[in-house]
Parts: sequence; structure tokens; C-alpha cells
Amino acid sequence: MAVGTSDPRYGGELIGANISLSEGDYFPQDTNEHVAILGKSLAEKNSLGVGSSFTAFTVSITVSGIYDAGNDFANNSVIFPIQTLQQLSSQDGQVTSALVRVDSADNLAAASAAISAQLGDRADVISSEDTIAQVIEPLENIQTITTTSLIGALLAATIITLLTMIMIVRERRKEIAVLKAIGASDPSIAGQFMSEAVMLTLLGGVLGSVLGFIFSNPILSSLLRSSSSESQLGAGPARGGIVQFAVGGFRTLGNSVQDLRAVVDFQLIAYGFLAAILIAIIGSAFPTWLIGRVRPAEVLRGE
Amino acid sequence: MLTVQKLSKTFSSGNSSVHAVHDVNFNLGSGKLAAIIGKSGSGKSTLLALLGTLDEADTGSIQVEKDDVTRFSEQELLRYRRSTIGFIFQSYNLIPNLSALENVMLPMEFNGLAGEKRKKRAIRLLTQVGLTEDKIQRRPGKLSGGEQQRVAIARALANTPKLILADEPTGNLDTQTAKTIIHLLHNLAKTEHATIIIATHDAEAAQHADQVFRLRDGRLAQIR
Ligand SMILES: Nc1ncnc2c1ncn2[C@@H]1O[C@H](COP(=O)(O)OP(=O)(O)O)[C@@H](O)[C@H]1O
Ligand SMILES: [Mg+2]
Repeated sequence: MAVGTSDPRYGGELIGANISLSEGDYFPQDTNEHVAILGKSLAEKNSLGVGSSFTAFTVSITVSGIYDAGNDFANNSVIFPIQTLQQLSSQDGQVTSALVRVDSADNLAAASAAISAQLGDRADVISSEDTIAQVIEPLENIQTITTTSLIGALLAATIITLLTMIMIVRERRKEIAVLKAIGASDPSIAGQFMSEAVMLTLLGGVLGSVLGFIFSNPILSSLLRSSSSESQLGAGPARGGIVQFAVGGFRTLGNSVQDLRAVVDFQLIAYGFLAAILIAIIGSAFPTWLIGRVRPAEVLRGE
Repeated sequence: MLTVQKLSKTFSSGNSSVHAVHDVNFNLGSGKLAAIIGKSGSGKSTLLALLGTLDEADTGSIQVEKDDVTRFSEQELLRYRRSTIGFIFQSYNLIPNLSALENVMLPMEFNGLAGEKRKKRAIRLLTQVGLTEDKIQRRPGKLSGGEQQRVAIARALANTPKLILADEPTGNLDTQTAKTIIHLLHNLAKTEHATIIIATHDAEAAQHADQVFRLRDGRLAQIR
């Protein structure tokens, strides 16, 4: 694919990649010389190096630089100065797309609106707000997934704690009856069991936090992977703020959500612990009632 | 010291009912060892449960010194179980994850005795019942049946009870060990000035008793 650009440093945007020169130099901005930068693969296939030339549109073009864009399609492309390409292909003054770099993301919406107003329906205006939204969407999906799993986990923990306590009371029925027979009060037995339950849940909380700390990043990236492939995520570079407007253009967008980190939020852990203790207390209220129902005379059964 | 009058307890399930304890009357003096002999199912455990307030009688009274324990409030019942009576069971019923020493200290803890005093008294009691010093830190699982029953007896003595109730205390022990345990209980009745009631199906265990009763289908009769 051959494309023309006024600024070769952003030429990669046209072929959906970030390019970096591996040899030679970019051609100057706004030139109409017969020069071009070549993708690595294209250069190799045609045995071209910096300074060598090839023929296009019946004229000889000099290679000023060779770039690597990291993907085959882009590495098989050639980027001309836009004026050169317009002249050689007899499309003077025509552009398919222009890239506008906005000084701050805050001005993105305003700049995009102004450009739309100027161009009317002669061009589509795509701002990186749209692409940011595309980037954010899978993240929001992840947040929803994690929130629902958190609530699910809390519910499951409550039920498991309850069942465990019922099981413990059942299993230790005889012990409870013995304690009652030798003069322990119901609250003191329940208190003993409760403190065991709190210790158990605290242990679980510590273990959970440690595991979360270790595995949050691998889990996040796997969630990200699955979630972004689901929504066909291709996100435009969200760095500064870019407004691109294209005339019937189609853009492959580079993937820019690779660099996320899971942050372990200590406030969240504190909430988790609070929830764990709450679960333990709620989970003990019922067994306390169960303990109250154990008849001390059971200690003599089966004797 | 103990006066039981017209004591009855019936268990009913569906349309069948069992008179586990049926119009029982008897008297016991302080520091006496009494044996209640009866076959399995005759009502021995039920009678002891009533005397120990582990279960409620349908009718009748149990007078311990000046109090009728069948009229006790929850609070009085707790105090009675803690400090007036001591229980000894056939299967020892020690708390498995506590050491012998801790098991003996436990009722003193319920009774609010200070930590250091608890330990001193528990060690003295364990020595008194003949548990050797190297074994007092062991858990029940690491002790023989006879040793566990000694610990259980020390636990029953913890809060200087006036009445000790032993339900088949030798039921799980070999003849020789059973003899030493009965002998121990006999001595304790004298040294501790406690009234001891042993329920057993084994007539031999009743040999040293001051008074012997026979229980049959919930009805009690004194035979010595
Ligand atoms: N909780 C109970 N529910 C129903 N029946 C019981 C209960 N406890 C004891 N019994 C019945 O009362 C009778 C006396 O039982 P128990 O006092 O255990 O006798 P022992 O200790 O002499 O073997 C038996 O017939 C027994 O089945
Ligand atoms: Mg019995």
C-alpha cells in the first residue's frame, strides 16, 4: 500500500501502526521531492537500502529511510510526501485524511466540534474520545465482572460460613453438652465458637489478600485479553488527543491497552476485612442459637 | 444432704411413652458413697441427669441442703452446675483439644477463679487422683482410659462440689483399673466430704458403697 503524508513521523497512523525508523531519515515535512520511506519487508524483498532508488509512476524515487512498524501489512507499505504523491498520481489538492493534534485532551471535544463545523459533511470527524470510549468499554466490563464476582464471593462466603458453623456445632454437639454440664453458660460457649469463627475468617481474609496481591495482575491481563477480543477492541492511540477526519477512510487502530496495571487498593482490603468480620458475626448468630438448643443431658446419651 | 421425693420423668415419642424415672424417693447423708445398680435402660442416666439439672423432671422435688433445685432459675442452675455438683461420665468426656491440666482448670475458670490459683489447684487435684506429673500437659488422646478417668475425676472435684454424680465411671475400664477408680472415689467421699452417687450395672462396683439402691424400670428400691 502506498500512502502520502505531510509529516512522515505520523505516517504510521495512515497504515494503522506506530512506525520507527530502523535506518536512514524521515523525509522533511511539506516536501515535494521524489523520496519515500519504506517498510522493512518491502525494502528487503526489493533489495532496497537507504539512498537506493526505485521506479514509481514512471519516475525514480529515492529511499530516505526504512521503518519497522511491527506488523506485516505496514512493513509492506511505502510512505511518500503527500505533495509528491498528489502530483505523481494527478490528484492535486486531494486528501483522504488529516490528523489534528490537540494540545490537551480537555480541548479535544471543542476542537473536534470546530472542525466538524468547518468541514460540514465533506468529511467524517473521528476524535480519540470515541476511541477512548472504545478503550474504556472493556475496562468497564471488567469492573462489572469484578464487582459482581465480589458480591457473589461475599454471598458465597456467608453461606459457606453458615454451613461450616452448622457443621461444627453438629460435630461438636457432645463437647457443647459437656461444657454445659460442667457449668459453661450459652454465651460463653458461643463466644468461644465465635472467636474461632472470626479467627478462621481473618485467616481466610489474609490468605485471600495475599493471593489477590500475587494474582491480580495476571488475572487482570487475562480478563483484558478475553474482554477486548470479545468487543473486537482496536483502540486508537490515546496519547495526547487526536482528531482525525477521514473521507470514506477506514482505519485499523493499533492496540493501546497493553499497559494497564492492577493497583491493590488498601481501602478496598480494609472493606474486605470489615465484610469478613461482619460475615463471621452474622454467621455466628445462627450457631449461637443452635448452641442454645443443645440439651446438656445429651452428654449422658449412649453411655 | 440430699432428699429426693416423688421424682418422675417420662419420655414420649408418638404414642409410646417410657417412664424412665418413676416416683423415686430417697435420702443421702453428707460424705456418703451411694451406688445405684440397674440394667441398661433402667433409668440410671435419666435419674443422674435430673439430679444434675441437665434435664427437667416432670414432677417431684430434689432438695440439696436447703434448696429445691427443681425450682432454680437459669442463673441458679448455672451456679449449681458449676460449684455444687461434679459430673463423671463413662466415656470421660474431656475436651479433646485441651491438656489434662487445662481440662481441670476449665470449671474453675467458669467459676471465676484467678489464673494462678486455678493452675495450682488443678496440679494439686491431678496429683491427688494419681496422675503422674509428666502427663498433666498431655491431651486426653495421649492418655489411657484409666488416666483419662482420673483427669475427669479431678475436673469434677475442681470447684469443691458437695455432690458428685458418676454415670458408669468404670464402664469403659478393665477390671483392675475399675477397682482402683472405685477405690479412689471411695476415698474422695471421705477426704472431700462429698456425697458421691455411682450409677452402674456392675454389682461389684457397689461393694464399697455406704448405701446401695436398685433401679428397675424407673423404680428405685434400697437394698442396703
Ligand atoms: N431423650 C430420651 N428420649 C426418649 N427416650 C429416652 C431418652 N432418654 C432416655 N430414654 C429412655 O428412658 C429409659 C431409661 O434410659 P437411661 O436413663 O439412659 O437408662 P440407663 O442409663 O439405665 O441405661 C430407656 O428406655 C431410654 O430409651
Ligand atoms: Mg446410662
